[in-house]
Amino acid sequence: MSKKIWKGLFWVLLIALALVFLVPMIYAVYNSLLPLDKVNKIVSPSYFTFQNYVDLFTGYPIVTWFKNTVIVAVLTLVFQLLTALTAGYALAKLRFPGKNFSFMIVLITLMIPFQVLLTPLYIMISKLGWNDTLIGLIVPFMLNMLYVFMSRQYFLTIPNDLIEAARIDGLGYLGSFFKIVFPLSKPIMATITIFNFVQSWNAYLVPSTFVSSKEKFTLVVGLNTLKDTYFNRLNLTMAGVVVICIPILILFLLLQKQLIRGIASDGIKG
Amino acid sequence: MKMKKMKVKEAVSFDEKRAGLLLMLPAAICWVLWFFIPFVQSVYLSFFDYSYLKPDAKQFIGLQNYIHMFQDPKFLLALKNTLLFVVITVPVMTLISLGLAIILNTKFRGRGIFRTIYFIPYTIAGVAVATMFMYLFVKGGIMQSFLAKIGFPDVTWYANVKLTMPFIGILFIWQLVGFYMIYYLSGMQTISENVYEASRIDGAGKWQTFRYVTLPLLKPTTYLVIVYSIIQAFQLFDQIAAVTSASGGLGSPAGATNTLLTYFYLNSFKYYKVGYGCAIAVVLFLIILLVSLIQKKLSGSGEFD
Repeated sequence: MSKKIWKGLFWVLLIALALVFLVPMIYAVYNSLLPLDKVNKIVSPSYFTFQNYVDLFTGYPIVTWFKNTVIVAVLTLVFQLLTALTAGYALAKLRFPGKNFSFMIVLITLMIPFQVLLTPLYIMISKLGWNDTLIGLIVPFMLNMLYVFMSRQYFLTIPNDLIEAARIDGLGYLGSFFKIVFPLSKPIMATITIFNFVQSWNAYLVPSTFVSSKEKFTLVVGLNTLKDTYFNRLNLTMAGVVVICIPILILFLLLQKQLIRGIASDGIKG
Repeated sequence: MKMKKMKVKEAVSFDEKRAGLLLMLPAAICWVLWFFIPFVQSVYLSFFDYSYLKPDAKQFIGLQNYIHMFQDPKFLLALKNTLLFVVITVPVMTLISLGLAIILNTKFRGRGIFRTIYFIPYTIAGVAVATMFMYLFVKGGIMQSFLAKIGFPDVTWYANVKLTMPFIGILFIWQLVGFYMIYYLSGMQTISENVYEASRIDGAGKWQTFRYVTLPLLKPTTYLVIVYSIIQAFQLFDQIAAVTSASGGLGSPAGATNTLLTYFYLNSFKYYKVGYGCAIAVVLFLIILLVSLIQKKLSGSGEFD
């Protein structure tokens, strides 16, 4: 009997906690579907309308912001994958002069908060004429040391024999990297993909600093101006929140196993 | 014969060296251009009086920026705010994430769904989280009204000098506990079943097992969670920017939300005191470096092997 009570209490706790996390999100979705005079009230679903979303897409360059966000996210991802996988592989599997020094640099770089670089980066971007362009949001961010480190840790787990065999078969060191190792890198690529997307999709500090004209905004920067201008239009702002969250949520649900495994291995192996 | 073998080996290792260096090249170029040079420049600028508005009037002033910092009441307030924020949010976050992990480490149906739900806030943009919470904690908002009924002041949380940092702390914790829960969950899964078996045979109860077996074995995870969350708390920016941008801008109301990072930003990009801003950034870097080094020391070497 007491075991049943404990079990019941356990489920109450589980669901209560789930509600703590879900309620703000449900609140956002719910209000985004209501006309302004019904917000913050419990009303029948017959009042639900997509008008806020229509207003959002017709009144604001949401599609442009969306495109900008995707361009920045995809291009930084491609470059970050390239720099991380190549360097990670070299650090894990090849012997070359300066290897230990390079790895030390990776570890030290990981400890430096990115914000320290913000001012010099801004000055460099301006000098190159890249301020207020998407290039300025991509080119300085083609390398993320965390992903170099994660790739190295991943490649350490691939048996040497496999690479050795391919190399002796005449592929050479570079050939075996591109033909054998690359295809084996899917798990680490998926991990980096989701990490990178969550990060660049949601970034605010850099895009709000480096970009000033409305047609260059990313979604998050756009949402923030929307919130500041129309704070009294709860339903419209919430529609904006939902529009930002949906794509990343879908990606997360598709790749969550990889993400969670990535965090876990990062934690255990350090 | 011996000579020949050595020669072959050398020839191969030249190939290997070349491949290694070639594969390092993309990362190395990016690192030098977009990391090393800016970093050196940031440290260099911190010794200058320099403004974007008057780039020709750049003047070397030695440690003046650093000395000024500790006489600047706004900086000292920002430092105090940052340290208070870290000291309060980090333990709370660590405890809650441990608690969530304990709950989800028991076996039951639908565990994966709850793990996903607890984790989802991490994937939402900080600005979006701040926006949602602002509507919940604005005067008349659902949470605000409820909290006012149980004795909290009947005011808009994020416009109140006393409540705005707690407000940011709440949304910060809400967003990140699920993330750190994952660290604890994976830490718990590395503890072998045999260890629990042994403690059961020794007659330890559930609480004793947790206190004397699980918790000590989770020590490395705890270090990691604490250090990561300290760094994250020091680097908090988006949420503060989103909460304050509609009202008085960063730091409002009355400097209550100024942290090291927002004060750095204000100086660098609003007041155009670039040199002073860089000096603040360098101090932030030194603090984070110190925290990371302490963690490495505590968790022992070999962590990266």
